[in-house]
Formats: sequence, C-alpha cells, structure tokens
Amino acid sequence: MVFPVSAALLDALVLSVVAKEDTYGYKITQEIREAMEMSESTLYPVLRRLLKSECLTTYDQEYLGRNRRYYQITDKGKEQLKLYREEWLVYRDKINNIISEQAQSAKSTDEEVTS
Amino acid sequence: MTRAEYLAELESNLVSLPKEERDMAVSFYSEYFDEAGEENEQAVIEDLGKPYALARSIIGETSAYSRSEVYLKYKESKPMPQNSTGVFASLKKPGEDLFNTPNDGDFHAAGTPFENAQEDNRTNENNANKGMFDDYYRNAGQQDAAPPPPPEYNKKSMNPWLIVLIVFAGVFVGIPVLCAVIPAILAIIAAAFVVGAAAICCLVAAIIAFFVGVVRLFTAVPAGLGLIFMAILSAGIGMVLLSGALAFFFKLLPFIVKGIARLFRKRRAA
Repeated sequence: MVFPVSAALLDALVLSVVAKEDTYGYKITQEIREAMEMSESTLYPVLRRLLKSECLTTYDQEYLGRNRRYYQITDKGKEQLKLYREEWLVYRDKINNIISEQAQSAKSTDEEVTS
Repeated sequence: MTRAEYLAELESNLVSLPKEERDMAVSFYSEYFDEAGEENEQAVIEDLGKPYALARSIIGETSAYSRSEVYLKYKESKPMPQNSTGVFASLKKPGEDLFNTPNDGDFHAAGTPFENAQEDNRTNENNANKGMFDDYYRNAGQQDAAPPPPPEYNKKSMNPWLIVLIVFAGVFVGIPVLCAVIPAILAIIAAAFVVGAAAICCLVAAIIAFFVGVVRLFTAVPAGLGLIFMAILSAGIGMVLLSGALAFFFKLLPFIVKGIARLFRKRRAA
C-alpha cells in the first residue's frame, strides 16, 4: 500500500475488528492484513495503547492446551470507535472530493458551465 | 535463530520495562508464534525484525504518552475546526504533507511510496526498514534522554507540628526577652539624654561662670580667678559628656539598631 497509516487509523482499525467479536492478537493482525500491508510488529504497540487508554480489556482462554489472550472492547472503546467512525467519514469524503476521478470530472464540468 | 532464542533476546532487550509489562510483551509474541504455527516460525521472525528493534518499538509505545489519549484530550479541550481534515490528519505534525506522515514505528513494513515501488528488490526494502528503525531508535533515544523529572521534595517543608512548636517557643521566649531588652534599650537612650543634658548644663554653667568670673576679677581677684577656674573645669567636663552623648547618638545607637535589624533578618532567613 502506498499510503502510510497513522496511529489513529490503526487504533480505529483494531477497535473495529475487536468490536465485531472478541478476538486474539494473531487474528487481528491477519484481518487487518487483508486490507493493508502491516508488519507483525505493528499490532502489539497498538493493543498496548488501547489497553492503557482503557478502550480494550483482555481475558485468557485455553486453546489446545495453551493460553490464548482475547481482546474485548470496552464502553470507552465503543465511544472512541464511534468518534473514529464519524471522523473517518468526514476524512474519507474530503479526500475523495479532491482525489477521485468523479470529483475531478464534476469539477471540470462545473467550470465549463460557469465559463 | 529459533523462536526460543528470539523471545529470549527480546526479553533481555526489555529489561528497562517493569516485569509485568515485559512478561506481557513476551507472552504476546510467544502466543503469536503459537498461532502462526511452527512452519511459519522463520517467516514470523523475519517479519518481526531484529529483537532489539522490536523491543525498541515496544518500549517506545509503553513509555510514550498514548496518542489516543492525547487525541481525546484535544477533543475535550477544543472542538475540531470545521475545515480540518479530521482525526486522521490532525495527528500529523504541521508541515508534513499527506504522503509523508511521521515515521513513528507503527507501520514498519509499509514504507513510503518510493520504497514500495522497489518492493521486488528485497535488499532495498530491508535497507528502508533499517532506516526507519534507526529513526525509531532516535525517537526512543530522545525519550530515554529525557526521563520524567524525579518528584521534587520540598526541602523547606517541615512537619506542621514542628512549625507550631517553633512558633509557640518563639512567642513564649520572645515576649519576655523583648520585655527585658526594650526597657533596657530605652533606659540607655534615656541615660544618654541625661548625659547630653548634663553636658549642655555644664557648658552653659561654664560660660556663665566665665563671664561672672571675668567681672568679679575687677572687684575680688581670688573669687574671680576661682570662678574662671571652675568655668574651665566645667567646660572640660561638659565637653567630655557632650562628646560621649554625641558618640552614643551618632555611633553607638545606629550600630545597635543595625545589629538588632540584622538579628531579625537572620532569624527570618533561618
């Protein structure tokens, strides 16, 4: 992916994934990797950050004789995710208005009409 | 490098973290290896990068102020201006364009567009990653270089009971002392006034006696000479007393006042 991802976008992505269902680190990485290139070292700091700001909590569950740590979204996390989603729509639309081909052609026809 | 070696090296690079945090990080990556499966062990190690670099990214994130917290605080303190591009851009430092967000170690493998264009070239990508890690080291190093200031212990702060005790002691000792010292000083000043007055009397008496003596010299020579002698004697005594009184008022008194003032200043400073 050409576009770098900010810390806030990573927070938003991880919160979205965990909001769907409680899940564990490896699976979160895999899911986000479907959308973008992401190093396996990226996720842990994001999770730490979200745990520290109390947007996520954890619980442990046994799986095949070993421990698996599940991440769960908190009320604060849901609130934060709501905020991120609103901001994302605004951001997406604004970027789209500038960058997309449709926006470009709409603008040029506008200019033709006015001139 | 095996998984066990990798995790051991990671842990040894995390010694600066509290044990709880360190264990959490190591168990996270241990679990990650479990989930990835034995067959992917080397791929995971390669993707995670050098244990030292991974440790830096963990330490950087755990010690640094949480970005989302910063954002929440920003949001609370002032509403987002309407023309802003929003949260995803608001965290950028000013002056950085859209494609050049701060390299904060969050996205090691993504690289810049130019680096990704050369992605087929494995060496280039590795170099690019290495550069990013280096950047990250520098950031982390800055954090290390400026540790939070140790809590300041106020040297002047004392046990409040001790302060009360000192104030009471000061009052109980100070009042009697002042009761003794102030009259003593007043008495000395009064005495000086008396001496001064006596000196002036002597001088006045001396002048009168001198003139009377000079007049008497024409009628009764011995009485006149006696009076002149007495006048000179009186003038001498008067001058001695006057110089004493003047010395007291102009030399000794300022000295005493200054001394007392210095005493008080010292006590306040102590």
